[in-house]
Amino acid sequence: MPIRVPDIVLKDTALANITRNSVRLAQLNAQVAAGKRILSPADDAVAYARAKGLRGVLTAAAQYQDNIGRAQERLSVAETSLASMENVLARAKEIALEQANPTYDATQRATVAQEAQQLIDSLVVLGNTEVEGQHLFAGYATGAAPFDATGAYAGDAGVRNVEVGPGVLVAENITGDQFLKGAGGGVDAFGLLTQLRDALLANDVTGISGTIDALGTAGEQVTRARMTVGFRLNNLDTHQSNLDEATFQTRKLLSDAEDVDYTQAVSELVQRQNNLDVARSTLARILGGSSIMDLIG
Amino acid sequence: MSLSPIMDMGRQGIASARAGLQLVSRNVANASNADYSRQEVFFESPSQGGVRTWTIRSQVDAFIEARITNENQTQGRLEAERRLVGETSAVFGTTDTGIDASLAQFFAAVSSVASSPESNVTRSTLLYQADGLATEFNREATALRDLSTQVGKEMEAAVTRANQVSATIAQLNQAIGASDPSDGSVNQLVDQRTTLVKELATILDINTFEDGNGNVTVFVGGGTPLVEGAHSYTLALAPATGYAPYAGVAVVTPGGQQVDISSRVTNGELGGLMRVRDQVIGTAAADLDRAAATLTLEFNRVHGQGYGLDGSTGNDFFAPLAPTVTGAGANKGGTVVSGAVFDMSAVTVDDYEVVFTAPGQFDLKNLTQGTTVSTGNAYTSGMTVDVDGIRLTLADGTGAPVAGDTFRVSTAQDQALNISRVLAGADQVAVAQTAAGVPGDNRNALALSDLEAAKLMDGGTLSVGEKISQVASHVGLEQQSVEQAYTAQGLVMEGLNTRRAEVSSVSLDEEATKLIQYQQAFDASAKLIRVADELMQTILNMV
Repeated sequence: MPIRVPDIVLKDTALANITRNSVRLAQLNAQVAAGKRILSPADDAVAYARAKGLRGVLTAAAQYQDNIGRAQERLSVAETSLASMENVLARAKEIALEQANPTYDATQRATVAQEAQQLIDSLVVLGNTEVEGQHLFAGYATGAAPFDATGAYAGDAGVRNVEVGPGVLVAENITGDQFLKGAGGGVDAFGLLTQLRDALLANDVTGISGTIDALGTAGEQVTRARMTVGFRLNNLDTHQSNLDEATFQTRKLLSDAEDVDYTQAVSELVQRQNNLDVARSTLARILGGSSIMDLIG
Repeated sequence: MSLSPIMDMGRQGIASARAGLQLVSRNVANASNADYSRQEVFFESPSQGGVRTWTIRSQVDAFIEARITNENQTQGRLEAERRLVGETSAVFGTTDTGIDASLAQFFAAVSSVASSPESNVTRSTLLYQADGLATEFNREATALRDLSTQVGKEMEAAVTRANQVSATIAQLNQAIGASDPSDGSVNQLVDQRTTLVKELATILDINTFEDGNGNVTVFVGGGTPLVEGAHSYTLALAPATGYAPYAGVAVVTPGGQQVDISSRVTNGELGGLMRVRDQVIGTAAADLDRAAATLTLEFNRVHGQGYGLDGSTGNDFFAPLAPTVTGAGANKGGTVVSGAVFDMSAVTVDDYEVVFTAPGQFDLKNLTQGTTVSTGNAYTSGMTVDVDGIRLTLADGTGAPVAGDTFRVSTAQDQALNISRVLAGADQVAVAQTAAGVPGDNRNALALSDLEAAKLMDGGTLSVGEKISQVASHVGLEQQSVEQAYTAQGLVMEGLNTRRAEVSSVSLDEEATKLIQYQQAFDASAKLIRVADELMQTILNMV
């Protein structure tokens, strides 16, 4: 215990208590108001840095989700388009089977040849399917229609990858030369349709029946492409759910790192407020208190 | 026995009581003065009887006063550090702002371009985000530079204040030496001087001692005198040394020479200001520069390999790096070194140094790697020397080089301040790996996107984004530790000030008691004289 307690000591001690409590109270108030435990790096530099890093992860994850969304949109359109192509080729095979029957005459076959031409036109349109000006089956050369009216391919074999995670790439496109032109081992669907049309016009039964099996193969070729697209959509779905889960976990970590624990903060707030009240009334008493001086009349 | 000694003693009693009352009134008047030390009067009884004032003494615990002076140095340093580090960490923003956030958005835009390479919208967004990122780099770098400038102004103010204080201490030394020690008034001069020494300690580290004549001598920077008896020397801002453009602290000798004491000023406000400026702000600014330079160099490198929608290639995305040459502040020769890039593919973000070992000979070092590029190169004015894609031209400017002259060459210096996007338009964004006509080719955009996670910094351990987060977190840790030290120091100061007050502050209760005591002594002494007078009358009446 001190030997002497001059008036100034009492006042300074009480005042220091008030200041201490006020400073912490202001800090707690700001934290509760913002809902954040970390308002400046000084509050917890490690958590501050972690929160900054996690926010970067969230920004990137949102972009990957966006990338996936756009890829899904394009693949869905591609899938619909491929389904239509299957129908075109199936119809062509039907025609070939039907017209290979010797009961038809040249006039009838000439009429059906017009339908064959329409099927060629449809396949060209489908092969040139575009989303937002982008030709889906053109490889990298998405700026221009890959198929001309005769079905000649002007695109390239470029494989477009989409980024679905840091450094994680998923192949997105399929190129028209593969499933319609038979590049890399397969049949040329346009060639077969042209052959069918010309055989019909020429009333060439052998020519017509010669396309039947190959048209079936062409249809299977498109079906396989459609399956590939389906797998890719599934794959993207998986990546999307993984990203959803990762984003959820990241948000939770972010919240742990920087959000205020309301129960704790509010209970300390109340406690500090009480301390402050006590310190204030103590100081008031000291300031209003008397010394022997007051007693000297 | 004669009656006159009784009257004499009464007179002495009144004089002593008056002296006591005077001191009580002085103490009471200073009851709220935190720097005042209460004074006490001591009396003595001469052998012939009576009483007289022996001495008036201040109640001071010299040990506590010395401790306060000592701790004030740390207190002054921490106050400056806390303020400055707080302002520095505010530069890096909250957890969702700052360069990190801009960088994440920038790379998200790159990824977006890769996902829709045909789209003019994603390409334009990338340019917009690049501008945002560059602006954020520029903003933080400018804020850090402004803080360093502000430190200079604060140091100037602190030096001015220190000079005023030390001049007053010298004046007080003189006044105290000249005053009558038996008079209580000298105590107040000593109090004043003690307060000023304590104030000087908050500005920089000092050592003091009091000699037998009551003079206080003040040393700074280890052993350079600042106050000697009635004389004081002045402090001044010393010219910058090394490559940093910032001032140090010097003592001006009577001959007008400046003795640089910067390296030995490690405490007090000046010590704190210089430490934060060099170690916290300086380091953070250099790290941001290097991060900006790395991003510029690597992004340009990959971007230049790709093709835009318009078929153009080899375009810079950010303004290309250019070397900055800085001569050391202490250079004595007149040589000028300048540099320019001649092969961007070989350029690094390392710092190099040209060191003249003799007037006709120089070494070339890589400061960042800590390696020597070449030694003993012969110097002729106008010559060139190449290092990592940079061609340096060394020439006599105002004169020949002098041994010991050094020049730093840096492509990273001020890059955070200067980084800007120069790519002309959305069509030039090099997304494709092949020439025009293939808008769907996103391979170069994917390569650019890979740079986000690439460990390009700190010897392949950190990505640019991680480095930037690290800069902010280092300043944050610094702030956290300074805040903690400041709080702890506050408690130390509070304890010391309380102990000082316990010894030296005025207690009104004590003074009231003394007031009554001296009043009674006064009354009693007056009565003594009256009684002696009455006795005298009685004797006179007998006649």
